[in-house]
Amino acid sequence: MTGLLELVNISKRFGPITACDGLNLAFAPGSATAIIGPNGAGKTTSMNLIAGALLPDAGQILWRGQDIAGLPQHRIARLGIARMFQDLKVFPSMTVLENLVAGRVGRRAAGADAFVHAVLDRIGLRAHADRRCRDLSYAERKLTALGRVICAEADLVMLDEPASGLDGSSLATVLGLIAWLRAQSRTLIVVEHNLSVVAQVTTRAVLIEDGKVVADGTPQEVFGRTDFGRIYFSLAA
Amino acid sequence: MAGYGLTLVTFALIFGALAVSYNISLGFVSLLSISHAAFFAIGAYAYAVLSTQDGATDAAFLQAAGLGILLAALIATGLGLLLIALPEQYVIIGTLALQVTFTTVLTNWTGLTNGIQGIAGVPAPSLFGLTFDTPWSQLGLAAALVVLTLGIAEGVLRSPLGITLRAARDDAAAAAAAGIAVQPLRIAMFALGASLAALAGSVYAGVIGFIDPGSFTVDASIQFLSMVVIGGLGSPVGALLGGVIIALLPSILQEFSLAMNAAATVQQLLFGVAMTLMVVLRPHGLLPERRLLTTGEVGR
Repeated sequence: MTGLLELVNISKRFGPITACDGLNLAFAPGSATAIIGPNGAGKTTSMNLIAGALLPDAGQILWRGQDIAGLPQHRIARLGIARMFQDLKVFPSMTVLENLVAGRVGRRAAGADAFVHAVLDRIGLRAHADRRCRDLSYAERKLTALGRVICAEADLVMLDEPASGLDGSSLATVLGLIAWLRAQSRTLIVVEHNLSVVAQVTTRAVLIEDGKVVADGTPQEVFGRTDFGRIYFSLAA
Repeated sequence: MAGYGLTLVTFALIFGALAVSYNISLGFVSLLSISHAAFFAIGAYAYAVLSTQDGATDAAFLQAAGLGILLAALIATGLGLLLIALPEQYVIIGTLALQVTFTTVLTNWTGLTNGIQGIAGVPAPSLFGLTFDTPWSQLGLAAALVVLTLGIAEGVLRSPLGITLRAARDDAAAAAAAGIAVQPLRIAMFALGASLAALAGSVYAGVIGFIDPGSFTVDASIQFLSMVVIGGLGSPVGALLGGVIIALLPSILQEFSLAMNAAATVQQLLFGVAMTLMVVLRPHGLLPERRLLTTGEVGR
């Protein structure tokens, strides 16, 4: 498979812990991939490596064929790689609107104002647009974080647990936003523990255990493996 | 008495401008340096040394201001490059070390600074053919300094850079992930704030006529810090207000018949009380920073 992004034999250790152990993965343009696995499997570490927040100990991270490992984070973002953090990391002193505009600092597309307003409507926070994020609820901050990532109009969008901690209404908005990203042919990498959400928003699931890929296929294929319960839920064989 | 009042306001404006310059690094990008008095001193000594050698000419002020701005920018950039990637506590320690070292240099490099005796007879500044040697003209010069400093600070904040600065300050990791070059931006703001502090120092030396190391110590840096915190972190107008209030405080206390040394002691106590109250009751300062954008300002 020709990848927009390819991880080639990536390894990363934290002292005695091996977070990524010779990871090989390719992501085709426009694909939607879930990276799943138990806590500590190396999912978020993989995102940190792609985004440049961590340096791999070995291996290459190829973006359109060019090795980007070692580039500063902001330069990787400006190549067209955006991410939403598990802990959101909205800019707390800034308003919802300012957060969305900040998401466009590294963008390459034109039409900032109209697009920001479109995103503001899509995330359903127009009434809160001028409120500072430190005064928002968790769900509102999550929608702002997702909106900021969408505003980047990046080719690759990485979402770390986009569905966690949300009520039904907010979850529906998030699922709609992810569908909108897919309709724009963005390439998605989603780390998510809610397997129902994984099945809804992705067409490929990669199961990771101890930093290694142990299964790669459609969500249904991966969930249906006989060893899935043992790996994912730590169930006895 | 009128002249005394004008002089008080003149110094209050100079310290207001100094607080605005400090806020560019402290409030805009959350770079907590304890060396702002050192940058203030660079400009003050540059003017004092050059003007007492060359006389109060336009060239002396422009050369001194230019030299002070350049030196402060270079030192801030160098220090920033060394410290910026380190955790905040190391930035505090590193800038504190610069401040202490600088005071020691001012005290001991007697050939240049005249040590603890200080430099007396610093002539009034001269600029564009005007000599600022009367209370009104010096007030005008201080006001011009405020307009320039405030204009630069507000201009930076109102430009597209403003959003990136706030993002970098609020969360460096998220800002980098959004494509913002956080560390170069923080160093640039540190250097800009240091340069404007040096400019304020040149004006200060010319207006007061005498400088010595005692005006540029760690205590002074802490006092400047309190100006920004009380006025409003990230708010240029707030910092100006904080600077003016704190600069005027000893004179206000004297109005209540406190002797100068008692006023200084009471002032220190008031700083402590005011800082504690501000942190608890009004953590964003007297004039908190404003929103940079509202829905009405971003066109559809």
